[in-house]
Amino acid sequence: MAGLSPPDGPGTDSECRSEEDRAQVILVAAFSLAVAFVALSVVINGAIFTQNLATRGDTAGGGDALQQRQQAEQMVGDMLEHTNANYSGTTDITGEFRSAVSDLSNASGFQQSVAGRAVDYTHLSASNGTRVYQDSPDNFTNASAGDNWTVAENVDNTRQFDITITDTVELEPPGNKPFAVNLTDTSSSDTWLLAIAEESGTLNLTATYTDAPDSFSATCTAPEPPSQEVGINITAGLFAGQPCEALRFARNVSGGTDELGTYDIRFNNTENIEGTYQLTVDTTSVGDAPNDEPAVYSATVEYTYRTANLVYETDIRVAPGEPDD
Amino acid sequence: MTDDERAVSITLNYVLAIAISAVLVTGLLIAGANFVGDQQESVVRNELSVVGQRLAADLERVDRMVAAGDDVDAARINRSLPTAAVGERYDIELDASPEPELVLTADGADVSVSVTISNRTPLADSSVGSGSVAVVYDQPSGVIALDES
Repeated sequence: MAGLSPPDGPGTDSECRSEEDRAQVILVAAFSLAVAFVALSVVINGAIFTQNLATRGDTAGGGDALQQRQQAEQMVGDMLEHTNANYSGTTDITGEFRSAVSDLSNASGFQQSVAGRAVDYTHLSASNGTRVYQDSPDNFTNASAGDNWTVAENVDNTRQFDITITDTVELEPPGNKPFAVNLTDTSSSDTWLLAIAEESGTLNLTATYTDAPDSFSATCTAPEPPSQEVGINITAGLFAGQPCEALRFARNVSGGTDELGTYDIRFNNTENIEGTYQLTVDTTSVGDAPNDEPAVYSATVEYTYRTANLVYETDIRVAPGEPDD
Repeated sequence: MTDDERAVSITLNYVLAIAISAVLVTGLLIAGANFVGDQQESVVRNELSVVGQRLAADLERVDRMVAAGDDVDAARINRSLPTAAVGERYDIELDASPEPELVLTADGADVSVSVTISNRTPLADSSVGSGSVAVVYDQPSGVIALDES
């Protein structure tokens, strides 16, 4: 073979040489094709790897970080509720809440460390508020049996505003001074009025917003239940368990936008309703309510989530039961 | 004269055989090389497209994390990408135009792939080489950019 046989070795006479030198073109072609096949195998390998890469999931765990954030918000919210329910009488309610967040951080950190994640919650701030409530069925009059009274003043936010009517017979028809929740913007005097009335076996919930040209009025209805009990979750927008568009809490109060301004909350015609209510406001300036207690309105915690490939640090504001919750 | 023309057909036969086989083999090699070259380009294009989509998913993931937070201090995802697509190194460029996209270019294979991104947080023009890449939210300026990991 050309170049591969020793030139002076045995069998190098002209006859033998011509025999061994044959088929060189085919040989070169075979080598070249072999190289081409190797290159093709590299290409095919690349294609297989691409398919493999395309079917891999979210290895960095961005979904887990968001899921954990959601859980943190839920857990801190539950803890805030628990603190309000059980430590309202103590002098340092935010201190109790802070230590609860610290305990939660330790527990979550330990739990997540098993999966190779570092999770931490740090209490940053909490804003004080007041929970106003009446937990035994009665008219919604104030502590001194006043009929029309101010529940809270200079409110920026309200959460968990629930009314449970225990006796729908007490409700009046729409024209006859029905019970109403009245929100008045402190700067523009725009009002948002929610009237709860009953007429011919039908319950009417009417929200009226007054500030031309954005004024509107919307009504939701529900049949009067035989049990004469009905629940209205105002901040969640539920009337007798059904979503009610009219209930978009404090809609358009303050300047004709959907943002809430600072407003006062009043109850009008409270003798025309019977039941229980509760609401939590972000102010300590409340009226002559039959029951009120200090509460943590909202809290901000710093949430940190780290894995080998992901870092996420953000603040979480927690205010369970706010209208935009 | 007659002596000169003896055995011509053997030589002619030999030359013709060499020439024909040379043409055939050359054709085979050229076709084979073109085939391999085309396949390589197609596979590089596919791989860049997959890599680009994975990175775009990471960008959108960071975007979601920033959107979900109230006051985000840090959001970062490190991603190990292949250093080469079928032996070709490539560059990744984030184009933060109104219709943002990732452009992956492998100069050696003369292939460029772009992947569109859907985002809420502003992006910043940035470019990185292949290999380990990070998608980073820059808190002071409020933009998401690519960075070397």
